[in-house]
Amino acid sequence: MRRSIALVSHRFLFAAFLMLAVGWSAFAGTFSAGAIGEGTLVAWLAGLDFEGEIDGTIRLEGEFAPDGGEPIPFFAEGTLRGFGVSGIVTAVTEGWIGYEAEGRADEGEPIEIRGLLHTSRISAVPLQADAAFIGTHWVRVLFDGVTHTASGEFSGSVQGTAEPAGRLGTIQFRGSGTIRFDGETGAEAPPIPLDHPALSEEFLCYLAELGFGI
Amino acid sequence: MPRASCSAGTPEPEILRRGKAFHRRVQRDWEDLATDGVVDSEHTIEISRDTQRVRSGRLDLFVDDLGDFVSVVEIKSTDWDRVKPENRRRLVASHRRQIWRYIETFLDRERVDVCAGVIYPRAPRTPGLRREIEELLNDYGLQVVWYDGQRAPFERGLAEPAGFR
Repeated sequence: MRRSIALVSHRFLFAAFLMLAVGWSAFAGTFSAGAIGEGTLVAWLAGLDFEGEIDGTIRLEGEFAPDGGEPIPFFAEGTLRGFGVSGIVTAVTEGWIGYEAEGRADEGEPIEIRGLLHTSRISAVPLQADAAFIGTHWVRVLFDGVTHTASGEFSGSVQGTAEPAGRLGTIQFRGSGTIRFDGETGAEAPPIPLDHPALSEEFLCYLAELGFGI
Repeated sequence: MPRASCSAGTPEPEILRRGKAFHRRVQRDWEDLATDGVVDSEHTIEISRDTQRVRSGRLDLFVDDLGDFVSVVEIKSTDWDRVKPENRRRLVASHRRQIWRYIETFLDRERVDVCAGVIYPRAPRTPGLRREIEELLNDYGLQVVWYDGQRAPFERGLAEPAGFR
């Protein structure tokens, strides 16, 4: 798809910040991390849907205790991609952000984190300052040869502003925001729906590569 | 009684002069910066046609050849702090209807997606007004750019223009 190729190739045009505070213990342990993401969001009207793609980078820093022992500090960085769609008539907004990050634990051991955020709300388009949202979060942590999976709910807000996207010849959205994830020990979040007709095959393939495919 | 003349000797009102300057500045910035697509300032499109007449519109900024979507951007020199509160919604609706006439042309006739927005010179200082305007336009899929609040035209070293600043 030409549009997607164009958007991906120009992700540096746009910076969106996400502050992500994550904490859960769905694998008999604990995990807490903060993340900063930078990316681009370009939105367009497709009929009566307002759609947007996010593309960028993410850095996570925190600590986790996979077996409930001493927390292990870690740092990881990688990429994120997102897609959002809002019905102008229905005023329902739905969005997905996937990310993958690789890094090191405190002792130098490799760690890999892959996550998927999903939010759905009745509101206007998600481009307004102080837009608040809640949603579902899934994450897979590969550490010491074992993949740990956790899920839960998150809440947060996004702030930002639209600006010209020079290279792309269109308008882009740049913002900053915070997301807080709170999970209950052992609790499982509901499955993240990936059957929205607006989701592109390309984005679904990306999520499948992260391990969140359908 | 002699009619008022619109001769060149009549000075242009300052508000119009500054509005035109802002208009040209944004168009010039866009043409300089947009390395993808084809930027067409003052692009004319046919909005509707019947037996009586053809209605056309002129897009302040139109960017084509972006794949399967186009950009439609309207430039307005509105100073929202000076618009009376009772007139705000009506003015926003006027801007929104104008752009949507263009959008529908591309969505319905050209069958392409549209990235659409409005550029205003500066964000209003009146508390809550910025959000109000953004919401009224965002609800219709229109993005709002406050031109003095973004960085893109200046990141490549373009001179900061005068005018509304």
